[in-house]
Formats: sequence, structure tokens, C-alpha cells
Amino acid sequence: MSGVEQWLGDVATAALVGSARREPPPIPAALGVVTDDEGHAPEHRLLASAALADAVTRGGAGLQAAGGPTHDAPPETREACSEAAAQLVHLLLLQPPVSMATRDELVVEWLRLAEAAGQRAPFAVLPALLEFAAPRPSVARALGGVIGERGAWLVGLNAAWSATLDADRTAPVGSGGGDDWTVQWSTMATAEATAAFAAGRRTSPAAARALLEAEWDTVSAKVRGEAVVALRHGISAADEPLLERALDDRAKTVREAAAGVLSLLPASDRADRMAARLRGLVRVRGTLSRHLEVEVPDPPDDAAVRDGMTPPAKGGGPPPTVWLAQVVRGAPLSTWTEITGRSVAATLKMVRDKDVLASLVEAVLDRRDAAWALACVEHGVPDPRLVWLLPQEKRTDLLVSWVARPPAGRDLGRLLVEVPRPWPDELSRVVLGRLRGEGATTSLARAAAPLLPVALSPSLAPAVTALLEQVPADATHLRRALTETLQLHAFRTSLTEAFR
Amino acid sequence: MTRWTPSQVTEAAPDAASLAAGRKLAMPGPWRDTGCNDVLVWGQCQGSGKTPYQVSVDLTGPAYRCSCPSRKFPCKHAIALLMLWSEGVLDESGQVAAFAEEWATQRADKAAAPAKAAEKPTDPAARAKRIEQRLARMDAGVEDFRLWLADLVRSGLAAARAQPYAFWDNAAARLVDAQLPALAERVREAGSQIHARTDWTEHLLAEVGRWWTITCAWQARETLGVDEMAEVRVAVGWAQSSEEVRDGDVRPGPWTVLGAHRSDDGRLQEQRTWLAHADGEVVAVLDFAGYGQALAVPQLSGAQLDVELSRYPGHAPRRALFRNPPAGAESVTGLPGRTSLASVHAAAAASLGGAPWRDRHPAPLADVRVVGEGDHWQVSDASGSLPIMTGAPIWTLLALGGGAPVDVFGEIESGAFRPLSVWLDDRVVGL
Repeated sequence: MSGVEQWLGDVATAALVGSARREPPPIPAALGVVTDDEGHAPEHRLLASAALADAVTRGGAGLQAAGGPTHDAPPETREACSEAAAQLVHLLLLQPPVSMATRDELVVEWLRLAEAAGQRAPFAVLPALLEFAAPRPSVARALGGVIGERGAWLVGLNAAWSATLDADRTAPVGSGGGDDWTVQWSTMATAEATAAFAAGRRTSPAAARALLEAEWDTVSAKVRGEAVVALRHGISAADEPLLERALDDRAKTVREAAAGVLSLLPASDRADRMAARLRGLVRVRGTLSRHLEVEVPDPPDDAAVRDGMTPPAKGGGPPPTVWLAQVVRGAPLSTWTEITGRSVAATLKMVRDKDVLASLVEAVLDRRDAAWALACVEHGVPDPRLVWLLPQEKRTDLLVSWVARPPAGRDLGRLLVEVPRPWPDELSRVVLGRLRGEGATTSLARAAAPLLPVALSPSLAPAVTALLEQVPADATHLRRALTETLQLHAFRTSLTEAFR
Repeated sequence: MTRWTPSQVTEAAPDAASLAAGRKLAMPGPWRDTGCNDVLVWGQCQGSGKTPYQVSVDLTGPAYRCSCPSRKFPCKHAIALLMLWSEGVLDESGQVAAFAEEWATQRADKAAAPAKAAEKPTDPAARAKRIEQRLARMDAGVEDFRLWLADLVRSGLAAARAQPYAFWDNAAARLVDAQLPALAERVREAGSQIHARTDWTEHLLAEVGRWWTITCAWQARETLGVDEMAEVRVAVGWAQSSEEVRDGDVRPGPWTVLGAHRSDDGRLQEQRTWLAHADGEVVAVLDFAGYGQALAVPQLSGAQLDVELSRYPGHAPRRALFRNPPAGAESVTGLPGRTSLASVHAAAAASLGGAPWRDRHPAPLADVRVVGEGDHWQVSDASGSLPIMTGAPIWTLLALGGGAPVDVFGEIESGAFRPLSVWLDDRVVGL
């Protein structure tokens, strides 16, 4: 057939440059076409050849060779979810009946329910589910075994999915319970070693500490520094010797990291040393001994610098208030009550200096000390982070009282965003109460409305329905939020039923 | 009329936004005066305004009517109403609401009007004269097009590529004037492909060859049989009126829905539904809708329709139309006419003999695997493999099959496979 192939090429060339410049080639006899070409103009012969070439090319094209064998997806170990559950996830992914913001949460909830029931998503929905999960880490983490063997097989075939999903789905190195990672740790690349250590520390703090002690001199300063930072998780007194050693490290980053982590240990030797420094600066003053006078410290000596304080420099050293802040953050909170001999609340009242109070608040946050946090909140410190250190009941009580009568200087909207969902019923009720009538257009309403669908528990549906009737027609954002809340509750109910 | 399934309602929606909006309205709350009978579904929906919107749907069209200002057809109210109907919550016993009845009557009158016009005794002589005039115009147009083609290849395709789009558009416009719209469409399409494809020389040469074949066939039409002539008429765009076809070559069911494809080029939406008869005959039903109009409700793949099809003349696979609304959808899971890639490929090649300008062939493939990686996938069986068209829902295909051999129905077009449905042991999934 090479004659025909040659002819096809010649036809293409003649057509490209034009029959005026290139005579069309005669049709090969091998094709067995009867023609009366002789009397026709070259362009007509070329057109006829083009027609014939097209028919020959298409009619004569063969199939490609059979594709190589692929590995089939392994058989499933889980049952597929019910038809109703399949329809719900299909709906969520392709035609969400809720706003985009709440859709992610619902998909995650669907995945959790399926995981809990030991079921898997139906095959047909897998592409949409994986496509949806790939750019959304929260959804990707919830996939678990719900995508089944088929889903894992698909991810393996799709580079875009495996790039993001495999990282989120496969458990991080070292969390599997084995000690494999400890063997290779000292030879890993920096990023890998850092991640492995952080993961290992979470599962087995003691083993991670022992490894870091053993490999202290073999790993890079960068890895040492990151590893020291990772010691935050599961920190205990047993970590202190290693951290003390880190205070003498060659690398500045490692020393700073160690000082920072040691601040979290109120009973450490470093804390004692800081306490001694603090005692030298604080005096009880006033005729009724009602306030504390705090002096700024002298430039730190070598021992203080070893403890993480900023070294003095000729001419342009840091202002002494920086050193004061470092001492306050480093000393145990109990130092203060020891000095005053009074309760936490009373002691706080005696602190008049704003900067000292701010450093003290940071120390409370470092230590996650609930008693001090409560005292600070009641003292009127507006820092919202303190609220999250309170015991849950206390926190709810406070939020309820604040919603009922908003205190000045507190951003209630921001606080509400961070309350774990669903909200406690007590809080939900007081928020709904404040949205009635005039309340529908307040800043609280604007801040709370987008949260309602996910924050209110389904048991409050009657209250939501009742409120919806009292909301003015022009408060559209609130009306929409309440309507969506009801829809979402209905959807949630059907979700739970689908997995029953 | 059989009640639609939820997925049929879904398919009727013009876009995802309307569907989502419709779903939100698909609860009894805002509705009153709802009801349905065999052909009509109606209801009033309380919107944001004072007067509720009056919504009526004629299921036979389907046609939609709503007093809301939306320019989408069907609007969200109609979709919501259909959803409620599909769930079976509408009253089937009541009196037709006045607004729905009025609309239905208007529609019936309108539909009857052209029929009446058609019944007017036509003057055979006048009709023959009209056809003669049309043929004369087409003949002149074909002759003109042949001259244009000869000029094109005389100066060469490389020179043609340097021409502006107006060069192709003008040629197409002259073909439209000569009542050769299908040829015109091909020329316009080639004009835009010439800069879009890397293989433009092969593509354009093949197209030019097909145009030439069409003109030759047209000029030799005295010698053609009925079926051949029908193919030529399709190729030039001389439509056969559906009235002519409707009572012509009728074949009763059951017909099994093999799969369907929808396309939308921005101006025209097309829906192509492939159906098979028990003896293996395969036909395609085409539906068209302009911008903003609704296409006919798609039939579900695997449904066995008890319906009469009127077939257009032409070579297999022939075009057909539903003579009566399809009813009684039992479903089957065995793919009719399932066969190897090689035999489908051979059949596609053989069909070129009847109409060399046709480039689409149905492909009921038995036990094919989907193989490949990245952006390149093929369907494959022991007899060979064929690339899968780019843009095909490859991941759904893979997810359903899991790499194992599975029956797939699709179309072969320009040497590539477009999957349309997957036939599993227990169900058929349209893609």
C-alpha cells in the first residue's frame, strides 16, 4: 500500500500549494477506481482526489492495537451506602440546596456518617466527590475509607487528585504506631524530618524526646530548632533537661526556641530564675498597699541572656521595657500572688501599668491558666483569646450575659464566630431573643446571621420558625439566614435518617 | 402521561441556578391551587410580590408558562412545580385552574391554525412551480460553490489559510441565499477550525473533498435512489418536513434508549437520542431548541419505550421522530446489539459507502476496558482500541467500570469514541 500512501501525501502537497503550481498526482490503480480524468481540469481532478483520499483514509483506518492491561480496582470491602444517602451527597455536590459556605460542612458531615456506618460512597458519585474534596483540605481529611477501594484506585490514576488528596488522606509518617520513622529520621531532608518529628511528638512524646536527645549533634540547626518548637505539644517537666541543653546551643534560633518553649513550663529552673528576677523588680506600694510598683530591669547579664533575654548592645540596645516584658512572661504567675499575698483577682487590680498587664496576659495565654484567665476577663481585659481558656460552662455563662447586655469594648461578633458549634442551647436562645424586632438590624444580627444555620441545634427549629415570623420584611439577610437554618435542619434530619 | 422522574425534571432545567432556585421552592409552603391531569400541571406560587405567579406546564410539548418576569424557560417556578408533581404530591382529581385552561386553549388554537392552513387545498401546479424555483436556486448555488471550490484548490490551501474569516463567511452566506444551509454551516465551521487546529491541512483537505462529493451527488441526483437522495438532502440542508415523515415509514416499539447526547453551540441546542429495536435496527431522534427554549425531556438510557417511530428516508442509522409521546418506560440492562470494537469500526467504515460525508456512527461496545493515563484514554477490547474524545466524562466511566470490562454505548466521530451510557449488571447509567 505504499503507493497509496505516497499518493495521499502527494494529494496533500498539491492541495497545499494549489493545482496551479502542482499537477495533481494520478489516482493509483491499486485503489481500483474507474475515472474519466482525462478531460477534466486539474483543479477538478484535485477536488475528486481530495474526496477519494478522505474516503480512503477514513474507511481504511485501522484500530489502534489493543491497549495494555491495566490493573483493575480491588474488590470493595464496604457496603455501598443506601440509595437515599447516595441521592443526598449527589445533591450536595451538584445542586446544593444550601449556601456554599454550609455545603462544605454538610459534605463533611455526610462523610463522617458514612465512615461511622462503615459504608462507602457509590461509584457514580466518586468523581464529583474527589473533584470537590481535592481543593478543600477539611473535606479531604474526612474522606477516610468512604471512597472505598474504587476511590483510592481512581485517585491513583488522577495526578491532580493524588497530589492533594494523598497528602491529606495518608496518615503522616510516624503516626501509624511503628517506630520506623525514628530509624531514618536523622537522614531525612529538613522538611520531611520536621514534619515527621512533629507527628511523632504528638503520638509518643517520650520517644520523640529521646530521639532528639540522641540525635542532637547529628541533625542540622534548622531541624533542631523546629524540633524544639514541636516539643510544645505534650510538654512536661521531663523535657526540661533537654531544653536547658538547648539554651546552650550554638544556633541562636535553637536558643530562642528553647526559651520560648520553657516559658510554658511554670515549674522549671528557668522559671525560678525569672521569678527571682521579677521579685527584684516588684514592690507593693501605697498607703493601703493597694498597688504594685514595677521597675524596669538592668541590662541582662550573661545568665539572663542564656535564659532568652535580648542581649544589650552598645548604643542601640532594646528599650528596658522589652526586658521587663521578657521577665514577666518568663516568671511563673504564682510569683505575683506570692509577692502580694492576695488572691489572683486582687493581685490583678494592683497592676496599674498597662504594658505590664499586657505581658501578664501573654503569660496567662502561654500557661493556659484558667484561674488567671477568668480573673483577667472579669478584670475587663478584652483579649478574646482569654475567653477560650475558661471552662466551658463559665464561658457559656459569660457569653450569655454579654449577648444579653453587650459590654463596651468587646467584639461580640468575633467571639460568636469562635464558639464551638452547635452552640449551647442557652446561648442560642439568648441570641435568637436579641434578634427579635428592632434587634434584626443590629450589628449583632449582622454578625450572627451567617452563623445561625450551622450554630443552632435542630431542637431549636420551633424557636427559629417563631422568630422568622417576627423579623421585619426588610431584614432580608436575617430572613435568609433563618430560612436557610430551617432548610439545613431538614437536610440534616434526612442525612441522619439515610444512614440509620 | 407518565409522571416524570426527578432526574427528568432536573434535565428540563435551563441551568444549574434555575434548578437550585426551583429546588428551594419545591415545598408545599408557597403553593396553592395546584393540580394536574394527563397533559397539564398547574399551580400558583407566592413570590415576593402581592399577586402569586400563575404557573402552567403542558407536558406534551413540553411547554411552560409562568406570569413571573423571568426570561428563563422553564423558570424556577415551573421547575419547582414539576418537582412537586414528580414527587406525586399534586392533586390529580381537581378541576383545571382557569388560568391553565385558558392557556391550554390558546395553545391548542395556535397549534390548529397552521394545520388548517395546510389543509387548504393547495394548487398542485403552484406547488410544483415553487419546488422548481427552489431547485433552480439550489442548482445555481451548487454551481457557484463548485467554482469557489475550484478556485480554492487552484490557489492552494496555504493561501486560503491567510484569508480572513469573512472569506469563509461570505461563501457561507451565498450558500444560505441559495437555500443550502447545511453546506453553509460546514463552510463556516471549517473557517473557524482552520486556525483552531494543528492538523488543519488534513482537516481542511478532507472537508473540501466532502463538499465536492456533495456537489457531485447533487448534480447527479437524477440517478440516485430514494435513500441516497435523502442523504444528499440532509447534506445540503433541504429539510424533510416532519409532517411528511410522520405518517410515512412507521415502526412500532418497543424501542430501547441506548444513550443521548446534548450539545449547545450558543445559538442552537441539539439533543440526539439513539434507540434500538429488538432486531438491532438503530435510529437517532433529533430535537432542536433555540436559545432560551426548552429541549424535549431526555429519555433515560436503558428505558424500553412503547412508542411508534417514524423513520426518515436515508441510510442506516436513520433519523427518526416520535410519532406519539413515549410512554411506559420499563428498563432493561442488556445493551442491544453489543459487539466488538472491530465490527463497529468496520460498520462505520462501510457506512461511508452510502454517504461519505457522514461522520458519526453508533457504537454498542461489549466488554471494553478503559485504558490510558493523563489526558489520553482509549476504549479497548481484544480486537483493538480507539481513543476517547477529549472532554468525555472519563472519570465517571472509570469509576463505574473500575478497570474491568464493561458494556458501553457511544458514538464514533472523527475517529474517536464519545461514551454516552454505561451498561452495568443491574442498571444503566447515562453519561
